[in-house]
Amino acid sequence: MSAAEIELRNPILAAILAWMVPGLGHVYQGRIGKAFLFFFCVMGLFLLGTHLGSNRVVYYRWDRKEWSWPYLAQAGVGIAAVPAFFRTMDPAKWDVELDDLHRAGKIVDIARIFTMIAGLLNLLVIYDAFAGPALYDEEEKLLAELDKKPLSEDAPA
Amino acid sequence: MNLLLADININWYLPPLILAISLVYSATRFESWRLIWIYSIRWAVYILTFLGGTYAFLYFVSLDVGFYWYVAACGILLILYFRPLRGKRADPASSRPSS
Repeated sequence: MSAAEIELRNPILAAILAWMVPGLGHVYQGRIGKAFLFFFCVMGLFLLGTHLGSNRVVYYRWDRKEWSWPYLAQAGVGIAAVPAFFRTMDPAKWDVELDDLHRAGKIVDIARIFTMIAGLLNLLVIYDAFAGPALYDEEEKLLAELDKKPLSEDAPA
Repeated sequence: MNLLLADININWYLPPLILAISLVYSATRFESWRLIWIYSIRWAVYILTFLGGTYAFLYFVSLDVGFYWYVAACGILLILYFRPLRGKRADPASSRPSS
């Protein structure tokens, strides 16, 4: 078993698709099962986070009042995080809205963590679409260890 | 602000997080579904053990007990940690490949 056995097709295109929608790069490569797994886990986490934060935890602001560092992680989730760039909020309402958000307490922090972790997990998914599984070359050995069988027939006794 | 699910216990937010992290992390390391399930369960156990250990440690620290109890607890933990290593070192034959 070698890494060449996985049909990665065009890895760069697969990585871009994986960034756009979690799992889409794997659909492009024909790895449908993993595509569903990544989509439900990453998007589920992201949507749960945005829902918990009343759709206000994913935003982009980079000025003297606030540098939204969490967005650097949230942006990893792809198209779902892009609207934060174009979200037009009245600057006069910015502080009121953010104060309102922070008054909600730790639930907002949990919501923000959910969305950030979803974005960071999608970076792993992008890498998987680009280069294949990280430990693919060791799979045969690990499966043989699980079955307690010799690694291959021509292995020295 | 309308925050749904805001009234439930904060610990209930942990299972979906652990589930997603362990599944995605394992799936990006292997292509075999058998290995993905096994390693995702293993990672979930690791994370729960780490968080549980941290919780237990912080709970113990928050108790109003004397300094020497902390020292005794740390000593017991160190003994429990190094005990398996000592057992392996005592048996050098097990570390050598049989010819």
